[in-house]
Formats: sequence, C-alpha cells, structure tokens
Amino acid sequence: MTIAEALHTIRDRWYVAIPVAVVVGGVLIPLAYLLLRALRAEPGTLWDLVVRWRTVRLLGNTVGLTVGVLVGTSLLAVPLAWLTTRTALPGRQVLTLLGVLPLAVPGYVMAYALLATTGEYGTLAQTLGLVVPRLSGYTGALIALSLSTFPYLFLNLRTAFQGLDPALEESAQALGHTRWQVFVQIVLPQLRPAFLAGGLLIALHVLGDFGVVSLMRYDTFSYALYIQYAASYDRIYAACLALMLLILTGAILVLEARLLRGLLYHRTESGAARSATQHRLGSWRWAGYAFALGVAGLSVVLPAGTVGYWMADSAAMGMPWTGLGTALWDSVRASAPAAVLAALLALPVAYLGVRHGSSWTRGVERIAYLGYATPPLAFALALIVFSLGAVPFAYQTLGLLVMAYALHFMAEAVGPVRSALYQAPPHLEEAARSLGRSPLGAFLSVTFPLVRRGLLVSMAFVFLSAMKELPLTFLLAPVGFETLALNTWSYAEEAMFGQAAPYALTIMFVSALFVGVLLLRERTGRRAASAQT
Amino acid sequence: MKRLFSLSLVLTLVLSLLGCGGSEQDELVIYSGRSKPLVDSLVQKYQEQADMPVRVKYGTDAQLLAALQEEGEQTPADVFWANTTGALGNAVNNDLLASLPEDLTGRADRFVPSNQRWIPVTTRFRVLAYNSDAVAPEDLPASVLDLSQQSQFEGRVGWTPAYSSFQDFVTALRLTTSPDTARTWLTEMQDLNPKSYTSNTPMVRALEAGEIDVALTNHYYVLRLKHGGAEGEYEGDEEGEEEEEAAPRASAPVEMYHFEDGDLGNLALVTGAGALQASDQSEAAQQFLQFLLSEQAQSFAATQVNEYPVVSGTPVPDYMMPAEEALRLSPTFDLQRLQEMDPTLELLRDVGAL
Amino acid sequence: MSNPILSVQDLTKRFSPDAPPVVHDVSFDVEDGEIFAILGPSGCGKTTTLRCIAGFERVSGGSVSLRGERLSGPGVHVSPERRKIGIVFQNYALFPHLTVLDNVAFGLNEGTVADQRDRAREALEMVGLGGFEDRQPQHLSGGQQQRVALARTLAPAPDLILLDEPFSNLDALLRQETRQEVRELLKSKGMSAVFVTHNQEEALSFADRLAVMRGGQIDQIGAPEDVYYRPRTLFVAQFLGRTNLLLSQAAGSEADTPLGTVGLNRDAKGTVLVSMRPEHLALEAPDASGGTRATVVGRSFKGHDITYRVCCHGNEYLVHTDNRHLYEPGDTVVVRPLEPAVVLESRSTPAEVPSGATPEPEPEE
Repeated sequence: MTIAEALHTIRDRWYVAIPVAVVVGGVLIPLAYLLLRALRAEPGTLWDLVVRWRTVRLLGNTVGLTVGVLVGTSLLAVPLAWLTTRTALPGRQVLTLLGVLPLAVPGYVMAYALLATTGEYGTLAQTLGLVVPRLSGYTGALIALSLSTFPYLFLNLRTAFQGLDPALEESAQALGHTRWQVFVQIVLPQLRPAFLAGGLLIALHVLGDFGVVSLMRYDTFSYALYIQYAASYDRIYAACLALMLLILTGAILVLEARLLRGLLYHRTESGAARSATQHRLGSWRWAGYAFALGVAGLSVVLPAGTVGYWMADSAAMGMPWTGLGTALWDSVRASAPAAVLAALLALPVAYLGVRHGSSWTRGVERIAYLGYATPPLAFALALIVFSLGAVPFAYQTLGLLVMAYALHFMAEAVGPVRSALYQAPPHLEEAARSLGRSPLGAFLSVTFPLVRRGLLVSMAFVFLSAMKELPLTFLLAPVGFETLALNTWSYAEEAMFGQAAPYALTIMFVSALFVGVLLLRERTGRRAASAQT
Repeated sequence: MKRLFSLSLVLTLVLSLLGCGGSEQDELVIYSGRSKPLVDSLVQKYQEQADMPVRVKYGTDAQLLAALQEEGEQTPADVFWANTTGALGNAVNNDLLASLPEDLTGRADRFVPSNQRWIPVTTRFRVLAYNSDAVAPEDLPASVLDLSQQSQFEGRVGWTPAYSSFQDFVTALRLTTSPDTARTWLTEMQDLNPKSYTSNTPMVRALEAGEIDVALTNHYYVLRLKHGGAEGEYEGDEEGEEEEEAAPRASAPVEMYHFEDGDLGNLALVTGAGALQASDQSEAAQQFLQFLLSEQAQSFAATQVNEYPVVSGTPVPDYMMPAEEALRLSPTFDLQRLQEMDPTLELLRDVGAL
Repeated sequence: MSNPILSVQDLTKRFSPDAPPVVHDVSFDVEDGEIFAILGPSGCGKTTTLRCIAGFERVSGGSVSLRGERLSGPGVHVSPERRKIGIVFQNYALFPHLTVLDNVAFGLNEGTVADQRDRAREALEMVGLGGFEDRQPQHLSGGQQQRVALARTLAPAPDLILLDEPFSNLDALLRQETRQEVRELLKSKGMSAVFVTHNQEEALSFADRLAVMRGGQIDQIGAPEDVYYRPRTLFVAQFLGRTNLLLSQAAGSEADTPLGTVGLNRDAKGTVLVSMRPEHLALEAPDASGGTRATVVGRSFKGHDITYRVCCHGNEYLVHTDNRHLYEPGDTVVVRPLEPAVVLESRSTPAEVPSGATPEPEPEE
C-alpha cells in the first residue's frame, strides 16, 4: 500500500482511525512522559538506583507472585468453570454469579478481610478458636490476589467450555480414553486461548496491584513504585521503576503473543455447534457444591461479612445517606460513561486485530494492554501534563477522568469484544456490502448486533474496575469529586473502618447488581435463541 | 441501530466533557493531603461561615505535590494543606508556596518555619505503641536510640520507612546526632528484622492482631484506635467508650509508651498549610489559613482528630495527655530543617529499608 | 463477444508490493446471461479473482468493467456496495441475528418496508422456500441455507452474481440436484453469473463457459466440451479428469506414439506430449490385425461402463469401454485410438513427463 492509499483508507475509515489514534496516543503519552522524567535523572545516580540487588529481588518477587497468582486462579477457576458449564449441577446459575462477584470486591478490602480473619486475634481465632498465622507476605498477597482476580479467568474459561465441540471429546472417548485422559489431552489444550486471555489480564493486574501487596507487605515493583512516589516525592526514580515495570509487561505481552500464535480460528462451520452433554455428578455433587461454595465463601462472603461487621461496629452512628448518595452518583457518572467509552474504543482496536491481522494491528491491540500496566499514578501525572498543555479546558473535568478510566481499563474490554468478533465471520460483512451497505453500515447492521453481548461483558469489566479505582481518581477527578472508592479508602486509611463500611458495601452491592443484571440478560438471550429450535 | 450507536457515542463524549466544568473563579480550591474524614466537616463549617464555595481535592501529600509540580502555573489550587512537614518543605523547595503575612504566621505559638511560607495547623508526637499483654513498659528502653539494641523484639517490631512521619524522625535523628549514628541505628534496627508497613493504620491493626509487639508510630493512631476519634463523636461520649473498654476485646491491648523527656522518640511534628503562589485568590486563601488557626478549628483538631492544637489554650480531651506535658517530652527542633529529605532517603535506601 | 456484461482485463493482484502476484494478467469476458466458471485447484487465485470483481480487494493492475463501466483499474475503485454485483459465499454468510425474511430483505433499500418484504417474499418463493420467512437461518438445513443465500443475492436484482464454491458445503446427493435447480433458476431470470470451483464436474456441468486457472494465470478458456476434449495444456488435460499422456514424435498431422501411430488435432513437429482421453481408446481382441498390443492389468466395473488399466511397454494406460466385451487381467489386447490425439503445450519440456495414465485429479478439499 502506498502512502496515498493509506491516507485514503484512513480518511474513508475515520471511525476506525480516530479511536485507534486515541488509544495509541493515550498509551504513548504516559510512556513519553515517563521517558522524559527518567531522562532527567543524573546518569550516575540512576545507574546506582537501578542496578542494585534490590531490583533483582523486586523482579524475582514480582515474577514469583505473578506466576503464583496464575496458578492459584487456575486452581479456582478451572473447576468452577467446569462445574457451571459441563455438569448438570442444580443451581449452576447462582454459582456462576458467585464466581463473578469477587470482581465487585476491591482488592484492599479483600486484603483487610483476610487480615482480620487470621492471626491470634482474628475472627477465626475468636469464633472457632482456630489460630492460623496472620496472613502476610507472599502467601497473603497470593491468596488475596487469587481470590479477587480469578473471575477474569473463570469467565474466559466458561465461554471456552461452552464453545468446545463435544464431537472431539466423544471421539476421544470412543478411542478408549478415560474421562480424565480426555480432559487432560483434549479439553485442556483447547482451553489454551482462554487461559491466555484471562491469564494476561490477571498477570497485568498483579503487576499493577498496589492495594493488596502494600497491606500484605510484599515487595513488588508496583509497591516499590508507590513508595517512591509516596515517600520521596521522587518522580524520577519512580519513572525508572515504572519503565522497568513496563518492560516486564512488554515481555509478558510478547510471550502471550507467541503462545497465542496460531491458536485462534474463526468458526468455519455454519450454524452453531451442538452443545455438550452435561455430566451427572451423582454423589460427587456434594464435593462440587463444597468446592464452589468454599470459593464463594472466601472470595465473596468473607469480605462482605467483614465489612458488615465493621458496619455493625458503627451502626449507632447511623448511615451517612447524603454522603453515600453523592459518592454513588459520582462513582456511577464516572464509571458508566467510562465503561461505554472503553468498549467503543476497544471495538475498532479488536476489530483491526481480528479482521486485518498484521503485525501492526496486533501491535495496536497490545498497546492497549500496555496502558493497563502503566502504573496509574504515572498515567495520571502524564495526563495532567498533557491535558494542561494541549487541552487546558479539559483539565480536572469529568471528561478527562472518564477518558483516563477508559484508556487505562481498555485492556479488560478488548478480550470479550475480540472473542465476540471471532464468532462473527468476516463474510457476513462482505455479504452486507455486496447487498449495498457502506463499510460502516455493514458493520453496524451485521457485526455490531453479533458482538453486542461481548460489548456488554466489556462494559461490565470496565465498570467494575472503575468503581474500585483510586489513584487516577485522586489525581484527575474534578475538585470536590468523591467516589465510593475514595471514601472507602480514606476512612480505612484513617482506621475508621466503621465509616468506611457503608461505602465499601455500596460498591459491592451496586457492582453485584450490575453483574446480576448482565448475567440475567445473557441467560434470557440464550433462552430466546434456544426457544426457536 | 446506526442512529442509536452514534447518538450514544456523541452523548457519552459530550456528557462526560461537560458534566463537570472547570473550577469557577470565585471559589476556593484546596488540595488536601489530610484525608476527608479528618477535614470535611471543618471545611463545611468554613463554607457556611465565609459564604464562599470551597472545593477540596483529597489525595496523599505526595500525589498532590506531584500534581502541583506538573500543573505549575496552571494549577486550580489556592491552598495546599499537607499532612507532613516534609511535604510542605518540599513545596517550599520547589517554590510553590507564597510568603505569608506576619499577622498570620504570628498566630501559632510554635513551629512556625523561619521562611514564613506556611503555617503549622496541628501537632502530633512520635510514640512507641506496644501490646501490653506481651510487653511490660518497664522493659522498654528510655531512649528510642536504644530500641535497636532490644534483641527480644527481633521480628516483633513494626515501622513505616516509607511514611513521611517516620522519615521526618530519621531526618531529625540524622541532624541532631550525626549521619553515622543514624546509619548505625537504622542498620541495627534492620538486624531486628522489623516488619515494614506502608502506613500506620495497617501497622496499628497488626499490633492489635498480635503480629508485632511494638510499633514506631504517631500518637493519634493509638488514640483513634482506642477512642474512635470519629466525626460526630464528642467528649461527652467518652464515658461510654470507657465502659466498652472493660469488655473483652477481639484484639490485643494497645498502649502508648513515651520515651524519656526530650528524647527524639517523642519528636513533635506538625501538619500545616500554605497558600499557593500560582493562586489567583491569595486573599481568600489567607482567610482560610486564618480560619485553620481559629479556636473553632483548633479545638476541632483536638476533639475530632486527636491531634494537638498549635494555638495555646485550646482545650484537649481528657484522655489526651495535656499539650504542655507532650511538648515537654519532645526535643526542641527547628522543623524547617526537615526539608533536607534527600540524604535521609539515600540513607534509608542504603541500609535497605526503602 | 460483441457486448460483454463483465470484462476483466489483465487483472493482477499482489498482497504486498514485493510478493509474487496471486493473480497475474487474467483476462476474460462474460456475456449477458452467461454462466461462467473459474476452475482451478485451491490456491490458484480463483477466489481472489472473484473478490477483485466484487470489490473486496483492490486490484494491483489491470481492470474490471461492468457493462462498459470501469469498476476497478488504475486510480479507480468502486466500493463493493456500489457495484450492483451480488455474491453467494461458500458458507452462505447468512446473518444469524436476522430471520430468513429479514436476511432476504437486507439488500432491498427502495420502496416502503412493506414493498421490500413483498419482494423478499417473492424471492423466497422463487427458491422454493415460501413459508420459511420467520425461521432463524441456523435452524435450516444446508440446502435451505444455500437457497436463502441465493434468494438474498437475487432479490436486489444485481447485474451480475458471483458464486464462491456455492455447492461445496452440500452433500453429494443434494449437490447435483441443487446445481441443476440453481442453473435453471439463473437461466430463467437471464442472470449473468461467475462462479468459482475446484470441482471439474461441477464446472463442466454448470457453466456455459469456463476458464481453467492455475498459479494465478488462466490456462484455457472455452466451452466445457472444448476444454475437456481439446485441452491446451498438460495441466488442463490433467485437471479435467484422467487422461493418457503419450510422449510422441510428431510429423505433421500424425505422430508416432507408444500406442502406435495416431492422428493429431493440429500439426506439430518433433517431440511433443499428446493427450488421449480414456474414452477415446478402445480395446480389441488380439487376433485383429495390427495395432499395439498391451496386457490388461486391472479392471473396474462402473455399471454403465468399464475402465481398464492396460500395460504397454512398461507404462500403464486407462481405457474406458462399454461393457459388451469383458477382458480379464492378464489378457493380451490391442489398444486402438478412436479420435485424434490432442497436442499439449507444456510449460515444462515434454520429455520430463513420462507416458502413461495421469493420476486422479486432486481430491476435493
């Protein structure tokens, strides 16, 4: 393609070009900012700070925690996804909902809950006389992060389980393999794309997490990074750490891209695949329930209960209704548009990657993930610099905050849209065009309705994350703008857990409501489809 | 469908851009490193009295300082209200704060920096919090300098090397003794294998949970833990609190230990506020600073936040040590010197605490 | 070839500037009302050619014109939606979120909605699917889906329709029947069509004319009989069914071949490769005078006829005969050519190709 042709294409496809430019710009601006800041350092000092034993330890800790959480979330998500899709266990829908709800729990609330439960004076010791060591360090961070992030993997695996062609398993069984062998040799390999998609989000989440690792006192890059910003007002060394973190992220993205190569195909067969037979568990179903409810107990009931307990502690003071109302409104009016915007930005990006797969379109898709891993504080500072320089009227407006949320959390939106796009073969759009629709018209009339469910899931992910977001909100929100998450964190920081509780509970409640409505939609959608058979 | 799509797109963008316009000209914008629960109702009161819209952006000192530096001249903020002397010193170093008139800086009785760029608002003291089930106060050293020798606390000490109050303490240690003494103390402390917390609340919680036995912290964390220290709770409620104290608690008993008079371990530190140079409302900013030193605001600090007022004669709740006594415990130290943070950070990094 | 509806001239397509062309200098015309097939093995560039005509791909060189109007060419690219060219995809590409009727009405933009639905209904009637209006496409059988796709393409009355392997997703029995129906439908509407296939039988029976393509180029264009009986190249001869290749010494209108002296379809000189279809050979009992002797090595009975494999000078040849005479393996027979052999242009030197029967054409994908 010549440059003229490329320009022509860009002009014709402005509705792809503009969002892609926004995304690339939105991610590259913080990168440029970090580079500028890092370059300000004196080379000697910088060298001493970067090349030291501590860096190696941080690297080891970060990688170790990431790997650990990936294993931990797999152990939680695989059985749960299998139970809710491939068995005839009654109450599967409820278990599914319980498997998504941990996304509604802020990581630091999860960490506080675990800390309050364990130890000599923990709830366990108080109620059951069971003294387990107070969680901290690697184990604590591992458990808290696994419990709060496994839904990303769970949801991806569920979709993958539902999409598996049962004929493959049946033929393997017919060839004399036991159920277990079939699972390991046929099913697991087919789940690889789902593992990679969910795992990537989890890995990036762990890399960027600060709330949990700081409460569990586990030294990772993001922890060190926060301390640099917080302790020393040192934006330069912090920028170096952030760049190291981004290099690590880049490595993970490259690795994922390599593992993913050749794994994704469009579904070529016309019509839907037959849905799989569902295993009857017999007396094993009690084990199934025990597992699912155990996970739900730890990941949902425990934090909700802990927060409820805090609240009971301060119930006498009454509920701060006005404060709650304002905070809820602020949370929602920032998170909801951000969710929509992120999904709309993710759509063209994923579309390019899926439909026009080339190294640069895949590059654009990866860049979205880089934005997710950019430390939020650096991201926010970069946006401050940029917006004051380029669009001063937008500084400290809700618009900028929404934009920041959308750009930062877009990676969560790309995955569901991408898998939805794989379900909408490109021929459909070509057929629409040969029937007289413009490219945009063809996309809107054919592909868009097919990816709508994917878009809803994307929005849900971004909404839930934005509801819990802290650092971006702190720095970029309009003056006087206070979300539920800000209130929760501020009160908890001042040890006023009783006052923090109503805000934390509201986050969880609103998020749960949102997820519930979403799942309900998914169910009615599927029922409507199957009713026509 | 097409219309719906573009409509929702445009609506989203327009709504989000216009949803909340920039700050208006005639309102006071405060960047507060002090968190909302400690400040909010005071700000509300001021708003009523001054009949002026006040909007606050909350954050940590560091976040706001970083934002202020990146914003430069374009900052919407008029007042920087910080949690720590270090942050204020940093703001002075970066030439963010405007000089204040004599009549304002003269209000506080102590701790006013010689550069007159900010005013102290409240005072807090460094203390050693301990679990009285595990530790007898007699066994605690007279000076914080000797804490590093107490090998019985190996693995049972909590500290917050990343937290500004602790760093201020180390700066003071470095300046009042010698850099070598400070280094030795830190190295020996490191040998005790202390547990590092990002902030005081999780550390005091850990103390309550029996994870550690002693913790280097600020006095009000212990007070708040024991007396609630929440908004809307007044002195009168105190008795009820005491009764509750008698009931079996789901945590270890936490007490405060003061080192000997004048010991660095009892160092007084202040929170403070200044008017920003880039502000176009220096008048209003100074009025607000004035308010912070008013009797109303000063007693609020004592009753609600359990910090000490900087204006003498302001009463403090009964369960707090009288201000004079606390001040006597603290060594005298020019807080302006706390600006010299960089060597402290270097030291902390060198010994591996950061 | 007075006034072709579609004219493709020197069409070339490269997917990147330095890559070899996928389609190279392809030219052909389609007459009004004609069904034109592009036949070739997978990867020969036939689908790319089709997509260039439809406008999904930009051409790298050459031109595409419809009714004399330039659609693709240097500096010209009419977008697919403005070409008035319909396309039926291999997997039909029915919109899963729309009913059958909405699918068919999708391309109808003129008139009121009621009009559009009436016309869509008509189109459905035309393909024999009246009464299926409210079904979801994924609940139809393959054959029905195919007809919906056809109705959807025909409904807006395009100037030309393109069919990409339209029958390959149907099972064998349904395929022949559907083929016949579709051909009759297109003919009855006077529709011009281009379809691509890798199935020689489909091309031969469905098309009025066909082009055989390989490696991005067209080897031969002609009526089915023409191309079958007078293949121009070795590839065409091989791709349109099995044949016998004979390395021969030509001298004017006759050649000396491993099966004796046979007439040629055109004059040639020197070493040439000639093709002789199995049905153009006959077997006779050896007692007849003259002829080339061969040994029967295999026989397969196909009901209406028999295919023999015979061995002559160490090479095997195929002979289709009627079933009046039966020879057993081991019998000695005389092979007699019934028609002149066809002289092939080969891109390689003829001597590199051994004499003998060609293997089965590539099986279907």
